[in-house]
Amino acid sequence: MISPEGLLAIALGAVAGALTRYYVGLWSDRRFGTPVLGTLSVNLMGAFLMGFLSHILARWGAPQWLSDGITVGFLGSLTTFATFTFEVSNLRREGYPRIAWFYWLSTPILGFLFVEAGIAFSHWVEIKG
Amino acid sequence: MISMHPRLRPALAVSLGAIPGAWSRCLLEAYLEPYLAGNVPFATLIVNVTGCFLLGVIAPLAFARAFVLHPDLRLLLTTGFIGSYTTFSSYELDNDKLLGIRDAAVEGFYWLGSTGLGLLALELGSRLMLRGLAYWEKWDDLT
Repeated sequence: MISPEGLLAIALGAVAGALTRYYVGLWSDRRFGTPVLGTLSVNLMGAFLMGFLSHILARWGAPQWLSDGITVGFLGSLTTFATFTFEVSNLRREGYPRIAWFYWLSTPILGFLFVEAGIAFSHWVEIKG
Repeated sequence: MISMHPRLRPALAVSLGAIPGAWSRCLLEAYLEPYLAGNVPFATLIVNVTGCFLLGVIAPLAFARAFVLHPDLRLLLTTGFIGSYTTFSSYELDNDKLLGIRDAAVEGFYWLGSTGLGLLALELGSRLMLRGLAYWEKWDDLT
C-alpha cells in the first residue's frame, strides 16, 4: 500500500511535472504555433527519464517514497496520454489527417525507442560508475 | 475573492488539478492490481482510456454556446487533472517489460490497443457530450 510520505512525494512530483508540461506547451505554442511539439517533447523526455531512472533508482536502493515521487509523481504527470490523443483528434478534425495519423503512430514508436535509450544509458552509467 | 497575480493563476490551477490527478492514478492502480491477473498491464490501460474519455467529455464544454467554462477551471480539469491522471512514460515502460515475456499478441495489443482504445474513448466521450449539449441548447431556446 502507498505510505503517507509516498503520497506527499507523489503530490510534489505531480505539481513539478504538470507545471513543466504546461510551460513547455505554452512555449511550443508561442514558438511553433502548435502545442503538439511541446506534448511530443515532454512525452519523449519523460519516456527516456522513466527508462533511465526506474532502473537507476532500483539499483541504488532508493527508498520507496522517493522512487514513487519521481516515477509515479513527476514522470507520470510530466507525460500525458489524453492530451496526445486529443491532439490527434483535433489535427484530424481541423483538416490535417496525414499529420494526425503520422503523429498518432510515431509517438508510441518513438516513445518506445526513448525508453530503450534510457535503459541503455542506465546500464552505461552503471558500468562507468 | 483572493486577489492574485494574473501569471500565478494558471500555475495554481494546473497544480491544484495535478495533485488529485496523480493520486487518483496511483490509488486506482493500487486498488485494481489484485483484481487484474495476467501479463497485460491493464491498470495503466484503464487509467489512460478512462482519462481519454473524460477529456473527450470535458473538451466540448470549453466552447459550448449555453455557458462558458472558466479558463482557469478548464486548465485545472484538462492540463492539471487529466494531464496528470493519464501517463505516457509508464505506458512505454510497460511496453519494455512486455517485451520480456515474448508474446507478440499481448505486446501488440497493449502497444497499439492503448492508442486505439484511447482515441475511440475520446471520440465517444466528445460525441456524447456534444449530443447532450445540443439537446440542452434546443431546450434552452424553447424556454
